[in-house]
Amino acid sequence: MRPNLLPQRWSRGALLVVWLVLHGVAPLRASQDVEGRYGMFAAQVDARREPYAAAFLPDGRLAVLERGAPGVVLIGVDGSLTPRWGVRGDLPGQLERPSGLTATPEGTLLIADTGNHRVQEFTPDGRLLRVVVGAGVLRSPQGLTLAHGRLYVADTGNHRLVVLDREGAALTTIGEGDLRRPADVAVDAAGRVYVADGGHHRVVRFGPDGRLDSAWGERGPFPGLFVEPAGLAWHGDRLYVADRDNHRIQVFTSEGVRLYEWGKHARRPREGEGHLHYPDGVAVAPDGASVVVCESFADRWQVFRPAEGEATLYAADPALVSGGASPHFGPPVAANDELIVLIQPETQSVQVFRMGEPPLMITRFGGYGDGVGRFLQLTDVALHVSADEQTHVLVCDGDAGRVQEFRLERDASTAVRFDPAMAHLMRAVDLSVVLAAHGWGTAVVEPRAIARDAEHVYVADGRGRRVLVFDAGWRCLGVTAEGRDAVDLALGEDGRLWVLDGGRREVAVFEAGGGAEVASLAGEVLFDRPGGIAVGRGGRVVVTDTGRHGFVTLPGEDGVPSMLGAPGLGAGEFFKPRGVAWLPDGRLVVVDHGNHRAQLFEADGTFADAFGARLYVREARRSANR
Amino acid sequence: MPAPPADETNRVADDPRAVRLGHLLFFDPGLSGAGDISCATCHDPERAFTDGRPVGVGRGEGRRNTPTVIDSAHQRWFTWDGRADSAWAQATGPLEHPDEMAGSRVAIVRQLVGDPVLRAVYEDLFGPLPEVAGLPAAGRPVPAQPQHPHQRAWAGLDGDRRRQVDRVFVNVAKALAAYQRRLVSGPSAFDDFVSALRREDASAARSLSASAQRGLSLFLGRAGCRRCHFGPTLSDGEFHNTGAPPRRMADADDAGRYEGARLLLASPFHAAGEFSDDRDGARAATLRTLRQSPETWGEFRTPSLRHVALTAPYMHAGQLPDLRAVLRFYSTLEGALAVNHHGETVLTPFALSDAETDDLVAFLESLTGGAVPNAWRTPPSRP
Amino acid sequence: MTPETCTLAAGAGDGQRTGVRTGVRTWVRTWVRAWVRAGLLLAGLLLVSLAACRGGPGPARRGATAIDPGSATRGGTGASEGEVSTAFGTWRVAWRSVPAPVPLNTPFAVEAWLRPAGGDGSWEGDTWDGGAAGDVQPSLVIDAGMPHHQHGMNRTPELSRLPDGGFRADGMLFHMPGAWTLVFDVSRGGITERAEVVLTVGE
Repeated sequence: MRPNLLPQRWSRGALLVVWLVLHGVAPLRASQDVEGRYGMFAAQVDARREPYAAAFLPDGRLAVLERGAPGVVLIGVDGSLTPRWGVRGDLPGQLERPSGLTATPEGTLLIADTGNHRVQEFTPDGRLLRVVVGAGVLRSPQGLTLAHGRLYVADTGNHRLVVLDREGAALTTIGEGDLRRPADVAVDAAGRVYVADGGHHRVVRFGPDGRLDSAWGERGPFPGLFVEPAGLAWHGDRLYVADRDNHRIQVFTSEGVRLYEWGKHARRPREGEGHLHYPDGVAVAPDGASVVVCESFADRWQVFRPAEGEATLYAADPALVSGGASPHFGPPVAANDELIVLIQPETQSVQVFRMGEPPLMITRFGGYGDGVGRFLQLTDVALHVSADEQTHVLVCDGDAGRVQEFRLERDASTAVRFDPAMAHLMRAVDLSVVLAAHGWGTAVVEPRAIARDAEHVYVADGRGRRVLVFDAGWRCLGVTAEGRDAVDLALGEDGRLWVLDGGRREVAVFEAGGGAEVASLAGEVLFDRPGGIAVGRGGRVVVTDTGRHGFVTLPGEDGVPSMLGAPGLGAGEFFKPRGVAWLPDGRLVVVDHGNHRAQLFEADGTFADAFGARLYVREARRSANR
Repeated sequence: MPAPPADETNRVADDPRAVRLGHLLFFDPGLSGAGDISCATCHDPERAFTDGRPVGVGRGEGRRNTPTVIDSAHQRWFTWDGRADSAWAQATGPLEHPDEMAGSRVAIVRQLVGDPVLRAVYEDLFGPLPEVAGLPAAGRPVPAQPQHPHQRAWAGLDGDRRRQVDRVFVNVAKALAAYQRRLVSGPSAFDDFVSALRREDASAARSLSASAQRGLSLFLGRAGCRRCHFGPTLSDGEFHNTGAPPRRMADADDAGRYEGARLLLASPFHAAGEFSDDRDGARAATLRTLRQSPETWGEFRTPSLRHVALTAPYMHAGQLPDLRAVLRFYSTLEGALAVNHHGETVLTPFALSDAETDDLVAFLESLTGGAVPNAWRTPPSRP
Repeated sequence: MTPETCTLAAGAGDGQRTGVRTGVRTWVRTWVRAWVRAGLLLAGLLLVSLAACRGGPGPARRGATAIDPGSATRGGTGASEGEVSTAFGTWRVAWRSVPAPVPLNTPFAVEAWLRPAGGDGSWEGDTWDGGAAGDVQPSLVIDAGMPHHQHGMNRTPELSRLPDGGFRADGMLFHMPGAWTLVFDVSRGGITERAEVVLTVGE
C-alpha cells in the first residue's frame, strides 16, 4: 500500500471521528481507564503541513499550530473545521516557522513566532490582537504557557526561559547556564516550572522562585531517558513529555518518577495509527478524555484515548528501540571521488561509505558524548584530502561549539570491508575558545555548517549569523556573510563561497577567502525551505528544498532554475530531503532524510540508485524499473 | 585456582570466629522477617548454592537469577548489577529486601541478643551487643516510603541508636562474608589439564576428554568466549550487555549496571563508606572512577564459569534453561535485544554445529570442580 | 588462538579414535609446544594479570631522549612506555604504564610528560602565541578504548599532576584481552591534538 504523501482534504467522516474522540463520546469501544493511562490510538489526521503544537481553548475547541505553512487549524465543538489561517512573513500578524502555542483563559491564542523571534496574540479566527513580545528579547522562541498570571516562554536560541507579565513586560529569566535549547515549558498548580531541556536530553524542574530544584533523564532510549524532549503538558498531577527522538510520550509525577510511556516506532514507511514518529507537541484535553500528539516530521497529528490492558501493549518494543528501526541519514552529506560521508542523528555517529554498486559502509565513528571524539549535535561534515594524501573528515558539532578532524586510515591493498577502527581523531577545535584566544571576542559559536578547501576552512556560526574563515591551522582570518542564517555552505572550483541562507531563502556568493558578497541568487519565490547546497563543475548549483520535497538546479537546462522531485517513496521522489553533494564523476547524491536513504542522480537528473534502509531503497529501485 | 584476594574492607574476613558466626547465620531463618527463610533457602548447598529456579523466590518473587556463592570471594562486584562492591555489602541486601528474606536490621539485632549462642560468638568477636530496651520490634530505612512501618520505626530512633544498629547489621554481614569466603571448590578436570600441560605431562590429556579439548579450542578461538571469560573464575568480573531476551516483556526494562552503579554510589555500605575497614584503599578508589553512562544500561556482570554445569537455569533472569540454550543464543544471537544504540560490539554470531555445541558443553562441564567440603555445606552444630 | 592450534585441537578427536595412546601423546606434545609458543596462553586464561605486553625496563622521563624516535602517532604493539607525537606534530608525549607492562583486567596507572615538538623541543623554545589568552599551559587528558569493539574503559580514570610537572591517570583498566588504544589529548588555546598508542594485552 502506498502511503499518503500528497496533500489531501480531510474527509467529513474522519473529522467527525476526530471530534467525537476528542470529546470522549467516540463510537469506539467503551473504555475503562483502569490505571489512568493513555495510549490507545483513536484517530489520525494526515497530510498536514508540520503540525507542531496543539492547545484546547476554554470553549472546548482544539487549535493546532502548523509551521510548514504557518497558521492555525481549529476544530470546533460541533465538529466544524476552520480552514487554516495564517500568512507567512515577518510583518505584524504574519508568521515564520511558529513553534509554540497556548490558549489564554480569555479564549485567545498566544503563538511563539519562532522565525521572527517574537510572541503574537491572535483571536482564534486569526485576527492579530497584538505583538506581545517583540524582537530583541527572544531568539527563536518555542514552547510557551500562561500560568498564575505569568507568561513563560522557552527562549530556545538563548538557552533560557523568559518570564513575562500578561502584557508582555519581561519580569525575569530562568535557567540561564542550566539549559540547552529548551523546547517547551509547563507549570503546575504549585507554580513549579518544568522545562523540556532538549539539548541536555532531560526534564528540569524549577521552583516557584525560579531556582532549579530537580532534573531527571539523560540521553538514551531506555525508560526514563530522553532524546531531544520537545513538548510538555501538565495535566492533573502528571507531566506528559513528548520524547521526540525516542518516538514516544513518557509520563511522570512532579518528582520525576516515571509512570508509563506510550508510542511505538513505525516499522513501515509513514506508519501511524498509534505508531509515533518524532512527536514534538502534546496536549491533554481539559476533561482528560483524550490526548493530542503533533508530529511535524510526519506531517500529521494523532489522538489517543485511555489505554486498556497491559502497559507493554503501548510501550516501545525494546527490540525496536535501536536495532529494528531504520535510522535516518542526514541531514548533511559530503563526498569525494571515492567516499560518501553521512551522519546518523540517532546515534550521533558519522558513517563513511565507499562508492560502489551499491555504496558500502566501511566505517562508523563518534557516538553521543561530550568527550573528544564524540558528538553532542552533529550538524555538518566535510571531506578533505591532505597534502600527504590522507583522507580527513571534518565534523561540525553545534551544541559542543566544536569542529573535530579525523583521519581515515585505510589499507588500500585489502578488500573493502567494514573496519570500526578506521577513523582516528586528530584534532578537536573549540571555536569559541580559539576565537577568544585570538582576539575575536567572546561570543559563543554554534557551528552549523562547514566547508574546506586547500587553504581555508569556513564555518557557519548559527548563533552569530556569520561565517568564520580560518586557515588550515585554525587561525581565524576573518568573518563574512554577516547577518545571514547559513544552513549550508559550498565551495566552487574557483574558491568562491556559496552560502545557503535559510532565513532569506536565497543563495549568496562570496569571494574566495571570505571576501565581499558578489552575488545573490533566487530567493523566497523559489525555495520553500532550503536544506542543502552543492556547487559542481562549471558552477552548477543544486539546492534541496525540504519543504517542497525536491531539489532545484541553478541554472537549469534552458538557463532558468529547474525543480526536480516530488513527495513520495519512488525513484526521484523525496520526503524532506536535506544535504546534497556533487560527485567528481558528475553525479549527484541527495540525502533523502525522511525516507531513510540517499539517492544518486546522473548529471541530467535521472535517477541512478539509492542506498540506505532496505524498505525505502527497494521502493526507489522498484519504481525506477517500472 | 589461587587463593581469593584479600578483602581489606572487612577486617574479620579471615577470622575463624567470624567464619563460625557467619556459618551459624547463613543457615539461620531467624534473620528473616517471618523466621522461615535463611540464606541457604535460595543458596541451597545441595544445588551448588543456587535455587535452580529462573529467578529467586523468597518472601516474594525477584527479577534476577540466584547466583552461586561458591568461589564468590574472587568477585570484584556482587549481584548481577554490581550494586555491592564487597561480599559483606551484598549480604546486607537480601536480609532486608521485601522479596527475599524481608527482615529488618532492628529485628536482626534483637535476634542476636535473644539467641545465647549467636550472642556469645558475636560478642567474643565484636564486643558487647547494644541494649535492646527502647528498640522497636522491627525497623529499617525505607526512604522512598515514608509511611512504611519499618521506616517510621527507623525514623523514631535517634542517630546514635541507628548507628549502633547499623554497626551490628554490618558486622552480621561481614561474618556472613567470612563464611562465604570458605566456600571454595577443589580443582576441576580443566585445572588438572592446565597444570599437567605446564609440566609438559603427556598423560594430562586423559584428564580432559577429546570433546572437551575441542570445546576449549572453540572457547579460546572462534566462539570468542575468552573475551569476557578468563581469569581464575573464567570471568572478567565486569559488565556487558549480552542482549539476552527477557523472560517476560515486563522485565525488558531491567536497567542492570546503569541502576547498579547508581545504587552502589548511594549505598552507605560501599568500600569508601563509614562501615568499610579500608576507606582509603584500592576498592574505595575504584568508586571514584566508576563509569556512569546510559551505555551501561542492560549490562550484567559476567558470571563465573566454574560449576556452570551445576547452576542452571542461566543468564541474569534465568531466561535460558540449559547450557545448550545459552550456546545457541550466543551462537545465533537469535532474539537478542538490540538495547543499546552505541554499545560495544563484542558479540557476533558464530554458528556452532551440533557437534561443536556438544564439545563446548563438554568443556564447560570440565570446569566443575571438587565439591565444597561437607562441613561447610551443612549447618554448624550448636552447643 | 592461532589457526594452527585450532587445527591441532580439531584433529585430536579423530586421532583418538584410531590409535588412542600414541595419538594422544603426539597430540599433547604438539599441544604443549603450541601453547608454549603462544606464550602460555592457556595458563594465561586462568591468570588474572596475564602480562602480554613485554616492555623495556626503566621509566621514560621528561626531557629524556626519545625512546622510539621513529614512532609517529602510534606506538608499537606491546609497549609499556614510549614517546609519541600528536597528530599534527605539535607535541611530544613521553609515557609509561605503572606497573609495566600493562596488566589485563587489573587497575593500572599511566604517567606522561609533555613537551613542545617545535623548535628545539624544549619549553624555552615554545613559540606559541597565546594572544588574548596569554601564556596558557597545555593540559593533558589520558583515556583508552577498544576501537574494534567500539567501547571505552569501564572506568573513568582519575587525572592528577606529578610533582615534576608530569600527568598521571589512575584507575585505568583494560578489562578485555585484545588491542586497546591509549589516547593522549593535549589542549591549549581551544585546540586539542591527539596522540595514540596501540597496546595489545592478554593475547
